[in-house]
This record gives sequence, C-alpha cells and structure tokens, in this order.
Amino acid sequence: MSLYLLLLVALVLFSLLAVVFRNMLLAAISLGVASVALTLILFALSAPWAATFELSVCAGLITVLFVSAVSMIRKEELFLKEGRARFALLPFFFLLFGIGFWFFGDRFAVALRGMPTLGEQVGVGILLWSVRSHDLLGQLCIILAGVLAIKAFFGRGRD
Amino acid sequence: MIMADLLRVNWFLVVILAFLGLYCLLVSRNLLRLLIGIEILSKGCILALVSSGVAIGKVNTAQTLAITMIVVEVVVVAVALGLIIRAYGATGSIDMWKLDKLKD
Repeated sequence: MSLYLLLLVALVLFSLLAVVFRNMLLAAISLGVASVALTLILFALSAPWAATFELSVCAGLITVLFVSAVSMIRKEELFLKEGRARFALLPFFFLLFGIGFWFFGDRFAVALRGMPTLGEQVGVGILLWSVRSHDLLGQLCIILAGVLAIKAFFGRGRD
Repeated sequence: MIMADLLRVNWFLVVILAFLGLYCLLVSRNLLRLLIGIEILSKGCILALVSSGVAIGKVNTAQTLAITMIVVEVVVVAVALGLIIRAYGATGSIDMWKLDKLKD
C-alpha cells in the first residue's frame, strides 16, 4: 500500500511540475509522467481498461501532440513571462479549502458508501456495446467533429 | 490501509488535482499551459469517476465513463492545439493577451 501512496505523491508532484516549469517542453513531459502515474493508480484500483486508455491516449498521444506543438513555436515565445505575483495568495486559499475538505469531506465518501449497488457487475464490453451504446454514438460524433475542425484549420482550400 | 481510508485519500487527491488545474487556468497567460491546466483537471475527474466506481462496487460502469471522457479529452486537446497553432501563425505569439486583433 505504500507503493500506492508513492504513486499518488508522484501524480501530484508531476502535475505540480507541469504547472510550475517555465520550459514548456519539460511541462509537457511531466504531464506525460503524471499520466503514467495515474495509469498505475487505475491499475491498482482494478480498472485495467480505463488504465490502458489513459496510458495509450493521455500518456502517449497527448504528449506527442504537445511536444509537436512546442516544436512548432519559437523558443522565446515558450518562455513567456507571466505575472503570477498577483495570484500569490491563491494557493493559501486552496490550502485552507484542502484542510477543510480533509476534515469534512468524509460525508461525500459516506454518501457514496450508502448508495445501493444495482445488480451484478457487468463486463466492460457488454456495458460499452449494449448498455451505453448511445455514448459510442456521441463519441463518434465528437471524433468526427474534431476531424472536421482540424480539416478546417489546416486543409488547403481550392482557391 | 482499509478501503475507506483509500477512498478518503483518493478524494483528497481529486481536490488537489482540481485545484492545480484551476490555478493553472486562472494564473497562466500561455495558451499551451492553459491546455495543460485542462488536462490536469480532467485527470482529477477520471480519478474521481473510478474511485466512486470502486466505492459503490461498479468499477466497470465507471471505466466506460472514463473511456468516454478520455476520448472527448483527446479531441478537445487536438482541436485546441490546432487553434493555438493557427493563432500563433496569425499573431506570432502564444500570449493570451495578444489575441485581441479584432479590436483593431
């Protein structure tokens, strides 16, 4: 279980590094490493399908997309100077909220534990293809919309 | 560590990830970093989905929802990166504050 806690710490640490790093390439790579940590956490929570998707899509494809976008942009633009001093107090508010959540957030978990479990556990394939087939239609529509949007951005017109 | 403690830690982690993503979205002017903030937020959402699935004993339903979310997430990232590249071509910068060409 200490390994699990180590994974949780790694997820938070690399997400924090992705926010903090001024070098965008390092930020993109640490986001990918955070995805790998989340993958291992999902495996530990016995959710292998979501973990596989997370590993292949989030840690693989999205990191590649980020790195290719970074490689297209001039270096001096990537080290953009941001005035973060105005928001210096924001993490303290977050910290206060987090401490409050640590003490009062149990009610969410209790509410979840009280929920009834509906019937038997069904397999992922049956759930995806039979029970949640409308989700698949929505996913297809979204993928099509994304492809058309990319085509509209980068396609050459007949002018 | 028993299951209840594990869920408690997971919920706490979800809150930390959501705050990290929100902080990134609020603070940053770099368009690429804004996308990274959205990514971190969505990681928190995926963890929340799967943790609640574990809590009520329906991991597979939570997994299918997580898969749907990952698909939506990758399309959002691809389209947003395309927009950022086009905006960079038009303005020569990835600073959010320089996206005010329509004012001229």
